[in-house]
Amino acid sequence: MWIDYIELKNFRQYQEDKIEFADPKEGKNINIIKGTTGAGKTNILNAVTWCFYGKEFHLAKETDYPMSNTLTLEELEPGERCTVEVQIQLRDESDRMIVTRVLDFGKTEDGKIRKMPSLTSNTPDGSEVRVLRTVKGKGLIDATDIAIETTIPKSLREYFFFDGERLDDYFREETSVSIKDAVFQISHLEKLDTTMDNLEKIESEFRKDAKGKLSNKAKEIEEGLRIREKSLKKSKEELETRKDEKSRAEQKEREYSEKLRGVDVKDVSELEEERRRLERKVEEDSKGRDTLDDNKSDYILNKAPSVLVFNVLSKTRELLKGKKESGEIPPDYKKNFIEKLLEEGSCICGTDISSENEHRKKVETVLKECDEITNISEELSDQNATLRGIQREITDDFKKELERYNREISKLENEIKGNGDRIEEISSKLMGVEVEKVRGLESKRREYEKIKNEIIEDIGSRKTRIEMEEKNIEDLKTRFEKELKQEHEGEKLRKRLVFCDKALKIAESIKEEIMEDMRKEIEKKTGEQFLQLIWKERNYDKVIINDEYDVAAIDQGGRDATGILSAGERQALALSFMAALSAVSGFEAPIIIDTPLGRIDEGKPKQQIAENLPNYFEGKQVIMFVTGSEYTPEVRERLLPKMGKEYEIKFEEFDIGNKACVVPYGK
Amino acid sequence: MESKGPDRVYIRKADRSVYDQLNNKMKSSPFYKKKNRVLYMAALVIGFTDAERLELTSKEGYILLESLEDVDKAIIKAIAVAEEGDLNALVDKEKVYTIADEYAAGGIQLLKDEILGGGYGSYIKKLESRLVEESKKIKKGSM
Repeated sequence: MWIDYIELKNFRQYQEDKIEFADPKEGKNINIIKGTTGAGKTNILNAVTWCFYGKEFHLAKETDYPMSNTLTLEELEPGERCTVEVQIQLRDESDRMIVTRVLDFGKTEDGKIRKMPSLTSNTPDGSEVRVLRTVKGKGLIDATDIAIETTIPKSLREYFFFDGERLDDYFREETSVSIKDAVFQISHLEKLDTTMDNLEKIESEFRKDAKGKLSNKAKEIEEGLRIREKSLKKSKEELETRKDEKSRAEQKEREYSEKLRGVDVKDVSELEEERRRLERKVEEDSKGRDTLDDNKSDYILNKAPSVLVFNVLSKTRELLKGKKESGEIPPDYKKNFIEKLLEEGSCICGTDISSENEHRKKVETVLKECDEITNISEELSDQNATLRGIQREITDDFKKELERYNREISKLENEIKGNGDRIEEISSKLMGVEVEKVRGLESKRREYEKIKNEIIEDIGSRKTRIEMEEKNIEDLKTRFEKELKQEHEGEKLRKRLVFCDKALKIAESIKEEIMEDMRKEIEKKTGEQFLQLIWKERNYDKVIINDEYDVAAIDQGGRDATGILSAGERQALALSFMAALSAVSGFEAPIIIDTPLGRIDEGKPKQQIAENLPNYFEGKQVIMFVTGSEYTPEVRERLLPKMGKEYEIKFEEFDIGNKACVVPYGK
Repeated sequence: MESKGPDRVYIRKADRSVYDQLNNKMKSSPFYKKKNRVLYMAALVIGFTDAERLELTSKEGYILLESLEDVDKAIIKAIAVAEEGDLNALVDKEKVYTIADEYAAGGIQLLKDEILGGGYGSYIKKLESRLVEESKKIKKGSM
């Protein structure tokens, strides 16, 4: 069915408005109502949910502000009342349904505004609803009790009427358990669940009934069975809670993994360690090189005098050699020794040379011929030895030693340069990486990974315990049946219990099969639509909803990219999922979306969604409330071929209240 | 006649500040915190090879002879022999060390100019190059 018109009387900003929509079957399934923020778009959606379900589900926050239009209330005299009314007509090819909800407000004698609930009201807010529906051969008849629930059940409301701005949080806030819940509702399995609950109650009643007629043993087994079944139920509930927790932890882990994508954390740590090690080595080698440099300088300064005057040293050595060869060094006697002999007047042989005699004359002749250098002959010998040592050192060792220093310094400098280059390389690699941030992200990722793994382990243990409990219960049931077989009354009970058990098992199996089929169907439709909607066509491969009901967008590399979807991409995924749910639900109901493009980036993303959305909801009426920034000329251009009706909200604010009215677009 | 000789080497009073600067104050000096003898011998040899003797009209003691190494004394004596052309120059120790002091006085300013002209690394590098050149001229068995 599609919405033919919405009529508003005194509802919020709207004093009196009738908004008509086009038949989607004529190919014009898109209807736009444009308005600025606060103009009243969302209140039209609230009007729809209030009319259908007696509640405004999209109020920004809980408010005591009366639902009635403030201008109308202002005009009331004390004792007078006004009526808030929303009427919606839905149609399809052969059917027509009119839903009207009313609620009165009045002004008391002291000027206060009060709700005036109807005495026949059956809704919490005191409003009254009436539903008229066409029945073949009978025209419009009262169908208040069941009509809405058969058209758009309250439990499925949010898959037909939804707030676009909240969509991008959908997969962040919703977990696998709530997604499983959504699939359950779409599968209309609540009746099957009710059947199963009833079967369990019946089974329990049978046992209770038969209690007084059972043997003590049978009673004991039955008591045990009841306790275990209660415990099993609690265990299963706890398991679901843990699955939910696991899902949350997995989501968080995925988020952090995706943030780290492109950064090999192991690489980062290794590179950092290498860089630290190399920096230490460079520092050590630099110190070593500086020490070698100093030692080389000292060596040069010490040897420089010997090298620079080497020729002078050589000449002196030559002279000394000559003196040695001529026998002057060492001398037979020193000059000062002869002088001493003459002074003392006695020769070493004892001859008297104190007076001028021939012996004295001979000694004096020797003295005359004696060189001064004979007095320093030891010194000259020492000089000779020292010069010989210098010669050897300079000729044999000097060059080699200098070369050794240069070699070692060069080796260190090459090491320093090589390591310095490697440090530069590492720094370049790490430059794009905020190392501290990466560490922080990795630490978080590991934390959630740990939590997830702990929960998985716990889930495993719980599943095993549940299996054991189920087995124990089965065994107990078998024992119970055996016990009952031996008693006449027990046999009757046994047959009833066997029947209930079988029926439960069949119902459970049907439920699982339907859920599985639904899951696959929704997964397929969500994936198809998401890939059409998404503007980065090449980034994503498919959407997966696994049997744990985790939803993931898988990229071309086979990786789960759900954690790093942008706000717009999340919105597209959620839109696709919602659209899949409503398509699979089997209910032919209109789709109303409030600000569908609010979080989508300008340009191609908005245009792509605008272009594909009508196709996805082919044949279904879509009513979208949009702001000016969403409804760009490019978006409008893409929607025009499918445009049914186009409106905008004119809003006026007065001192005493405000008023909005819906007018054709552009007028 | 052999003279007893001095017990120390002398420098010009006017050069004290230069010695101080190169030895104790100028961190970029290659002689910074090195032994005084190293600087004195460098000045002496530079003075002998590249400069001239400068009379010490006003002098002060710089290093005790006992602080000089045998190599230093051998070089000082060889310079005196080369100056006088005779081994007999070594008899007059007073003269031997006067020659050394005067060449050192002639060489210290040149040394200072070289060091201040190019900085630490530059002086040592130049010196190394010069020594390498000189050592090439030295043949084995040449003494």
